[in-house]
Amino acid sequence: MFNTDTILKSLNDVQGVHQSLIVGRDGFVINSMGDMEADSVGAVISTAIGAIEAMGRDCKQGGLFEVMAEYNGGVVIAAPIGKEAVLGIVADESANLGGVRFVVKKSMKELEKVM
Amino acid sequence: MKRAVDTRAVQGVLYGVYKALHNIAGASAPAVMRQAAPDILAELSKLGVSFDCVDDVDKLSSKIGETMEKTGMCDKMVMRLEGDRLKADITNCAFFDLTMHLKEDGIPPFGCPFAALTIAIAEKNLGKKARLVNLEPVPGGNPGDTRLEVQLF
Repeated sequence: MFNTDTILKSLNDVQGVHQSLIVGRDGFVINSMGDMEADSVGAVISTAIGAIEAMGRDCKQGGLFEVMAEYNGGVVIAAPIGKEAVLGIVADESANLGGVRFVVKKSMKELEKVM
Repeated sequence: MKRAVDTRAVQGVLYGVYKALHNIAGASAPAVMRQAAPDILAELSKLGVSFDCVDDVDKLSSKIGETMEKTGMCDKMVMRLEGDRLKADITNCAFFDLTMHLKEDGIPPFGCPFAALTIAIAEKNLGKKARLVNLEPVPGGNPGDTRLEVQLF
């Protein structure tokens, strides 16, 4: 049986992933795992995904599955969980991006069931 | 220095800001307000409106109610705790017309200052996590009468 703890733990077990969280669209952190300022990270991820969705809407690209931002130090991946929440993952440069995205996709199905 | 400002001017400005925020952040617009609220508190404190004395729900209720009434944000704000729900009845909200105009445009009341401040103070001063769960006109009430419900964790 999945719950948000087990799902976040499975994400953090992927090489290079060190932080993951589930945040409501209002920026309220539902659950988080890893060393981070969850409240501020959650609010920013929620806001960012809203802006990315708005970009897709105005560009007539339809709904958003996932967004990945690459930085000098690693990546941030965010994906909407239905209409109410967002999954956020922070990984360093050692992460296998294909592997991370695969686990994210798998986790999204599980999260949609438990949320 | 205190000055009286015509609320129509304030509502006009806020309408544009809230509409733009909603266009930019969509369903995540409330997260912007969550980020803004602690800064609103800090700025209010600099302007002489401090909530530092609040350390329990009763003080939160009386202080926020007093502040909102004195600043003309509403005629009355009465708060009560029911289980883990902090409920507030707001009489004659000064932003009611703004809320209705935004609602006509499909924009929810994510920028409600009553909700934002209640959540920010509960989190900062009471050490609770707080989340808006309901905000709607009081059924059968006068225009501007609003009920606010925040869940504490």
